[in-house]
Amino acid sequence: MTHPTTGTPILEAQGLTRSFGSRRTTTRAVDDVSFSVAPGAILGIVGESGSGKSTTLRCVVGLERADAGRVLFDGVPLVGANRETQRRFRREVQMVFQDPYSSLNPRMTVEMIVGEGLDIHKMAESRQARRARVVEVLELVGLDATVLDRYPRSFSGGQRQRIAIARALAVGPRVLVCDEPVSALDVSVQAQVVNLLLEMQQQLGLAVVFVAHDLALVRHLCHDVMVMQRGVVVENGPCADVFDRPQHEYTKSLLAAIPIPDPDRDRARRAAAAAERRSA
Amino acid sequence: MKGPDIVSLNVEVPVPAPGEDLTPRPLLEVSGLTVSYPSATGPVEIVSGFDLTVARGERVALVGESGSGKSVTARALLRLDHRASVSGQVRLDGTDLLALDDREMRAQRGRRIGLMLQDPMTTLNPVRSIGSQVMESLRVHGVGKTEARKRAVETLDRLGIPDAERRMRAYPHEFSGGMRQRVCLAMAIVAHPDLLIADEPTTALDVRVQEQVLSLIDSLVTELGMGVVLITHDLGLVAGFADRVAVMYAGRGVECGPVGELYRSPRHPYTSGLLASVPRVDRDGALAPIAGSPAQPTSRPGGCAFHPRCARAEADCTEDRPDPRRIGTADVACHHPLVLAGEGNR
Repeated sequence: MTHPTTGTPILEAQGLTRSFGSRRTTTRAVDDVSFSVAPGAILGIVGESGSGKSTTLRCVVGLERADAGRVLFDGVPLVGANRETQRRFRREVQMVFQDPYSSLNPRMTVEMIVGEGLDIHKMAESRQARRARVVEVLELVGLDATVLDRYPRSFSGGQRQRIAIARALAVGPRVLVCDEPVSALDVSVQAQVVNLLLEMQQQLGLAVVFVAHDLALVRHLCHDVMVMQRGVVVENGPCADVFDRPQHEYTKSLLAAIPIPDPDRDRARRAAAAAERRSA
Repeated sequence: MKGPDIVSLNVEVPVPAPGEDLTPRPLLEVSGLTVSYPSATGPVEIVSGFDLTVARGERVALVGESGSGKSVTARALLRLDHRASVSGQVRLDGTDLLALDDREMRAQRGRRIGLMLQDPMTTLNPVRSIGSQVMESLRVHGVGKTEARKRAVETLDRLGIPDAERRMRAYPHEFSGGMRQRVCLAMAIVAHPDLLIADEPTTALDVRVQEQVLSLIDSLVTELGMGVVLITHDLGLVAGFADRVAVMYAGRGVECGPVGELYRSPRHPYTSGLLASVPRVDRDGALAPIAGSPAQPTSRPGGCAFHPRCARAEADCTEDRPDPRRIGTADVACHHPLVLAGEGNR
C-alpha cells in the first residue's frame, strides 16, 4: 500500500495516560501513548485484549477522560480550545463501533439514526434537505432510500455496519475512528465492509484510526501500525517495515502466531518454529 | 482379499467389492443428518442431509458462517438438545448414536465423545472448583474418587497448567482466558474419548494463546489417536491444523476434501469466495468479497441455497438442489463447480 504524502497531522495524541482501579491496585491501561495521523492516512492500532488499544481510542475521542497527556486537532490542543474548535472536533471526528447489534438504537429508524448528527450540528436547513443528505450517504454505502423507515432489527450484521458507517459519514467528517469495525461480522461479509471503508477513505480523503486484533487485516488496510502491549506502545512505523522486519519480541511473537490460510506455507512455518524452539 | 478367516474374526466386516477402497471403517460416520427445531411457524430445518466421516487420528475441520448449522450439528452428534428433532445416522465405531436410549447415550458422552465449547465463561460453573469439574466426566462413568483425582491432575499438568495439584482447588475466575480454555479442554479429554468435538475452541482467545491451545489439541491427537472435529469460521486456523475440511452453507455440506487440494483448488464457488475474502498477512492484494449475506435458516433460497450470492449461478441453480459428487479429491455439491483445465465437468 502506497503511503500518502505526510502532511501536517490532523489528529495527534501526546503522552496519553489513563489508569483504572482503586488507590491500592491501579492498572495503567494506557501509558504515555503518542501518535499522529495525517489527512488521508490510515493508522492501525494492534494488540491483544487488555493491551489498551480501545481505551486509547476512547481517550482520543473524549469518551474517556485521560489522566495525563493531550489531544491536538489540526494542531490545536482540545483542552482549553474555544467552543467552536471543540464543536468542529466532535463533527469532524466520527466513530464506528465494533458491534452493530448494540451500537444502533433499536427504536430509531434508519433515517433518524443517520440523520441525528445533522440535527445536532444544525447542518440541515429543512426536513427535505436532511432526508436528501441521509439518502446521499446511504447510497454511498450501498443502501438506498427504501431503507429509510426501517428499524435496525430488520438488517443483517453487514448492513447494520453500513448504516453505522453512513451515520459517521453524514456530517462530513475528516477523521474516522474505528474500533474493530468488522470483527463481529461473518467472514464473507467482512471483506465487503473493509472494501467499503477503504473506498470511502480514498473517495473522501479521510484520515482513519483503526483498532483491530486481526493483524492480517491491519496489514491489508493500514499505512502505519502501532503495536501495544499492556498499555505501552512497543513498536510503531510504516506497516511494511513492522510486518516484514519486526524489531520488538512481542511483535515477532504476535506475527508468528497468525495462521496463514495456506496449508503448505502454514505447516512449513510451524515446523520451522518448532525446530527453532527445540534448538533454543 | 476375500479370506474366510477375516470373515470369522468379525462378521460385521463387509466383504470389499472389487475396486472398493480397503480403508478401515471410520470412527465417526454421519450420513443424512437432519436437525430441525420447533418455532412459532412450524419446524425449521437447520441442518439438512449432512454427511461427514472422521477416521481415528484424523483432524477434520467443519467450516461455516453464522446460521450454517455447524454448531447445531455438533450438539446433534451428542444429542444435547431435547427440543431438536434429529434424523439420519450417526455411527460412532459402528454404534448408531441416534438409536440409543438416554441412559446408553449418557455412557457415550464424555467417555466416547468429548465436547469443548467456545466460551469457557459459560462452559465452566463459577461456583465449583476446577478440580471437581474436570473430575466430573470420570466420576459419572464410575471412576473412583482417588483415581479420578489423579487423572484430573495428570491431564491438567499435561495441558500446561502450572502447579496443577494445587490449582485443582481454584475457581474459574482465578484463571486467565487461555487457562480456562485449557481447563475446558481437560474436561473434554480427561476420560480419553475416541472423538473430540471442538466448537470454536479458540475464538475468544488472542492469537498467541490460540496457537498454544491448537497445538495442544494437535499433540493429543497424535498421542491418543483421537479423531477431532474442529468447528470454526476461521479459514486461517484450518489450514495449519486439519487433514480434511468440510464446508457448510445453509445447513448442507457444499464441499469436503483434503486440506491441501481444497485450499489450492477450491471447487465450490462458496469455498473459493471465502478464501478470496480473507486478508492474508503474507501477501497484499485486494479482497474479493462475496456479495450479500449468509442465508438465514428461516429464509433459505430454493435450489442451491448459495445461488443468490453466486457469480456462477445459472437457471438450474435456482431450481435443482445439487447433490454432492466427486470432483478430483473432493465431494462437491454444485452444478457449475470450478474445474481445472483438462479435467472436464462430468
